[in-house]
Amino acid sequence: MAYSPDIEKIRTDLENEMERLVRESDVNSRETKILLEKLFGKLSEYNSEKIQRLHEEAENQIFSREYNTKFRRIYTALADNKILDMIGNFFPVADPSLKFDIDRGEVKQKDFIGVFFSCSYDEFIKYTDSGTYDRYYDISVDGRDTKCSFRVNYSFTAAEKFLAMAAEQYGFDFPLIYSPFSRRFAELIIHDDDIDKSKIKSIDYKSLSEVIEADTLTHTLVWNVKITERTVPPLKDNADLPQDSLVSCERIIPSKEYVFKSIYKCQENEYIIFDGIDADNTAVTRRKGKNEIYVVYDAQQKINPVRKLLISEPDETELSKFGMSFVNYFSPCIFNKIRVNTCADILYVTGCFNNNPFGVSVSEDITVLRDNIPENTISAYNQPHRYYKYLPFGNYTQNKHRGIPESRGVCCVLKFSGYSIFAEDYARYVLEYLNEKYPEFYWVGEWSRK
Amino acid sequence: MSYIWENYSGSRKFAVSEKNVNFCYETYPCDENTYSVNTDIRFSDIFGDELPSNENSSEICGLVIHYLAHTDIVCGAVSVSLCDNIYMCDIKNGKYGSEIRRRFELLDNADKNLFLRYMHKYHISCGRKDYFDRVFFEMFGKKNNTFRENVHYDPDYTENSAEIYYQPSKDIYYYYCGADGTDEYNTNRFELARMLFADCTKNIIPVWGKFCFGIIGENNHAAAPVVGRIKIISE
Repeated sequence: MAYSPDIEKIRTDLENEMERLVRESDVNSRETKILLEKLFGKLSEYNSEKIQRLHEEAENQIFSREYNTKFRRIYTALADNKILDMIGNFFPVADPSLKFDIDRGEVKQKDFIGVFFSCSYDEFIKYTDSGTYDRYYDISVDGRDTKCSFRVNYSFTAAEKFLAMAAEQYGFDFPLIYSPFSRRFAELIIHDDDIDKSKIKSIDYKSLSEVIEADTLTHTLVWNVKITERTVPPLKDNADLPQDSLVSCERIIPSKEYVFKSIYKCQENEYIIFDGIDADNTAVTRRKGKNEIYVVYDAQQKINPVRKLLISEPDETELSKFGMSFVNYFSPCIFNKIRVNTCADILYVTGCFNNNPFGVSVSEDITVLRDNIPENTISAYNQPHRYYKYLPFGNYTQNKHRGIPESRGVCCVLKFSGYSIFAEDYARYVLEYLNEKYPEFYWVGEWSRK
Repeated sequence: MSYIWENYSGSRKFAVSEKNVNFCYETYPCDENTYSVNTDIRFSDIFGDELPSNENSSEICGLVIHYLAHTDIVCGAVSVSLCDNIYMCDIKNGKYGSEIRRRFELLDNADKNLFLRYMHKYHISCGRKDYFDRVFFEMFGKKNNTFRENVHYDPDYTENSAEIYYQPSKDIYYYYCGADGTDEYNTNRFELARMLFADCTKNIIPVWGKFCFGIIGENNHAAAPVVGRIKIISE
């Protein structure tokens, strides 16, 4: 909880006290008395300003690390289509039935059926490889037996790119989303031309029913993010940038070279995404208590708002309507670690992921290996499913090229414990974040359970 | 010295410097106990032109600058103490793991302060890798042993009884602690320092007990080549 001193009271008390001292002092000259009163008046202002700065510094460095930004909590869940009207803070992540047609742009595929798996990721890959290996599965469509196969669909993970864009523009460095069902989604392909797929009412998955959680006939993947088109022009151009009152965790400090500034109207839980923005040459910052964001850029840039992300805050009642929901759990450290060198640093950064609601924990037993990677480590997601594929600096597979030269080949093995179907997903979520943020190590995971 | 709070002494006399002089330093010594202060650097916003530099008011201005120096020192001390408290809370709350918490609890107050001070330094340096060596020398070194038989040795070589040797062929750093290794307190603080400050990719081996270093017949204490404070040895 933030400590908030009553600066104004401190200042008034000090001023009154100094005035009294000067008045009662032995100074005879009236001029000197006036001079002293003025000087101590100015000093008390200076003092209260110092206290204010100290308070702000502490707030910026410490208390704001709690991340008050609405972006901190992104929930995803599989929602029954019947309850969609009752969950006002949730919106569909994407429409996977949209397909790109070279002549007509995006068109809706009426016969699209998607399936959410609830098995391990490795098993999911086996099932969805069936298209490659002509592996077919028995299902029953509206009472009629037929064969089907599955093709991986990346619509939901593709929608996450907007989060990555916003994070880059607003300077967020925490994990953005944890969404296992986006990474267990495949298109159902029914090998029976006599079935009109657009009229299917229900499907019995027979032997697969244990590994299939739901399909798009009955369920939709939702999140508390609403993405809309946003092309409204700025409120004001060439505005002055205030040096204070900026939201500390939602700003990138702009260089003085960039003098072009625009103000956009933007609610506290809104994040405008600009097109063609280059994070190195542009800064977006939000003002405290005002529904405004400032964009600072140089003469070479032409900024253009294209999307708006609205992040809602769901309440417990809404969350309880889902069978399970996933949140980007991350308990930030007070001090942000820029580099990770020591054993304590590793424990400090991995501790941010412990005490999560998914029952998975990272052990304190950490191994650092040089020049060899252990076997039987937790496998990585396929490239399109990875969390950091969109960020310009991030590439999980090319980790070694991103690291500082002397750290190449240094591998940090984390031991995870806990058991659930999605436990490995959580481990991957942790490992991908660490690989992205701390490339000095190649982070891999093992299970400590037998 | 450049700031009014540096090497602060209550008996010092401050005098406001004339305008347009010495823009490089906030304060500089005029004579043994009088220091000239350029108020333009940090305090022009506070006083504007109201801080006179004539003789009649010099005593008052001196007092005001003492007051400002005190404010700086208090703010600095509060900042450091705030950070120390946070490190302490982080350790006690298990943010660094249970092992570090356990080891930290075993330290006496002087060593706790030493570790907290270096944790702060380590943090503001964004993770410099040589703080382990510094903590090691502070814990196990003898700072005053710089003279022997009226010969003054370079402090780099002799300020510590502790020594660090690196063996390139095996890529091992030997930390000769010059202390009793059967004492649990010593081993505990070495391990804690290693966990908190040492590069975890380094192979570090502590060597306990007293050893004499050098080449027989050579009076020079530093017989091995030195890089920083680490001596390089070959097989």
